[in-house]
Amino acid sequence: MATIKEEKTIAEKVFNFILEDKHLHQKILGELPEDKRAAVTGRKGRLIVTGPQGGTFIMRLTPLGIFKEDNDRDIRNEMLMSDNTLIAILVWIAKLPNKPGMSPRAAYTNGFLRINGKSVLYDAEEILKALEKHAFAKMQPVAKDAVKGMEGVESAG
Amino acid sequence: MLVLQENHRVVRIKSQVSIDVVSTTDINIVILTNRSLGFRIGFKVKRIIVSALKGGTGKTTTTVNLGKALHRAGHRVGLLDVDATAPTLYKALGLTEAPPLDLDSVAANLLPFEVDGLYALTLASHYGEGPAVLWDEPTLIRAMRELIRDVQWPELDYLLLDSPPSSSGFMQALYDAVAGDVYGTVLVFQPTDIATADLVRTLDFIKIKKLPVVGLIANMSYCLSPSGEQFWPFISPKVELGAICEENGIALLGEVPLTPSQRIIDLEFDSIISRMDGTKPLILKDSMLTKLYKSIATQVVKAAIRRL
Repeated sequence: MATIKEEKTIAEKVFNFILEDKHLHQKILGELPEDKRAAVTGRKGRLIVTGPQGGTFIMRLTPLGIFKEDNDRDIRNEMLMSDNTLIAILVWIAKLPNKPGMSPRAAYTNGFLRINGKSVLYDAEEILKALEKHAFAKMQPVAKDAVKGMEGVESAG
Repeated sequence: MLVLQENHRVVRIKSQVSIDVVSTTDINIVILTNRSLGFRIGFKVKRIIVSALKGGTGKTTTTVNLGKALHRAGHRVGLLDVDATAPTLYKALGLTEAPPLDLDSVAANLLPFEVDGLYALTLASHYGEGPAVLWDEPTLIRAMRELIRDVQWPELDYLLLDSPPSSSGFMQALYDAVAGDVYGTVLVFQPTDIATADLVRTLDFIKIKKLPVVGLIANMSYCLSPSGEQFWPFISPKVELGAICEENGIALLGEVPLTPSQRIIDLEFDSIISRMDGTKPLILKDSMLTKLYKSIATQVVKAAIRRL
């Protein structure tokens, strides 16, 4: 009998949401210039969210979209933040009244969100641009859902 | 590293090099360009660091005014804002917001933006408006190295680096990254006793980093009212930076007034770049700093006496 694994943390919910829309992944990949598409295809990244609402997740960009990976070899980029920072970013994405939250770029500049890669500036800018262009509008429902019922979560750390 | 034989001269090229081959029926012409350094071989960019360890001396506006003057003189100019924690060069360029940071996704390089014929790059484009930069030192050091290595400049004659008032680890990393490939530093100081107190410290830093000194710009040297009246605008007495420079063999490139007239500023900077052209950058020695310290002390005392 198949069992349904319960999503335990906010970070897991976000990660699963990111993996969900393969059509969108393919569309974004399709819009890239050919040489750029070739450069990013196969790239692996790790998301580390510390704290009780966190988790560690590895993903890989393939021609068919983003997929979960277990193997941590050849990881090009890593995003590291606390669960409080993730929640602050989700509050910002959710655009809740009277709760400004924190944009990912502000969290990055403030040092609450770390983006590691081969290059500090280029890789971080590329990832932030991709998130700003493709992810946030789509993530609004999951962000609202994730922060529903939470009170007083505005500051990162 | 690529080694080429060019006109019986061995040319060694480090860093990223692109090779363009133009084929004709009989010959192949190979043009080598090092885009990240902003020069074509044989047309090397002059990198100048605008520097002062004292804050508020006007380094950023001086960088922009120097850049504009060089551009008016027909040079291709890039401005690199290397203030890692409070980058404001875009404001001095007259922009209300830093333009978004453009990327060359194939070469994985950062691309400068263009304003009135000047090319510029600032980390404000990467940070976004508002948030304080709270990065750890190793990250700042890596970022500084990438600013020198990974910007895809067009062909330039001059690259002006607007440095922050700091001798911290990330600034040392920046100076180390450009060492050996800098035309010189231009110092910017106000002729006040408070500002000149940091002149020796700045020169000591530059000496340790083995950078040549092009000369000194005495910024806010006097106030020029719209009616043409000149006066000294500070409470502290005026120190004669000209005398200090003359005694120590440092070129005084210009004395820039505080004035609401951009035309007057432009005229002064046109003179400054002419003087820069005729100046050989100076390599500092230990003995010069001792002499300089005495000169400054003497001029500060003279200024105080004049005020009595």
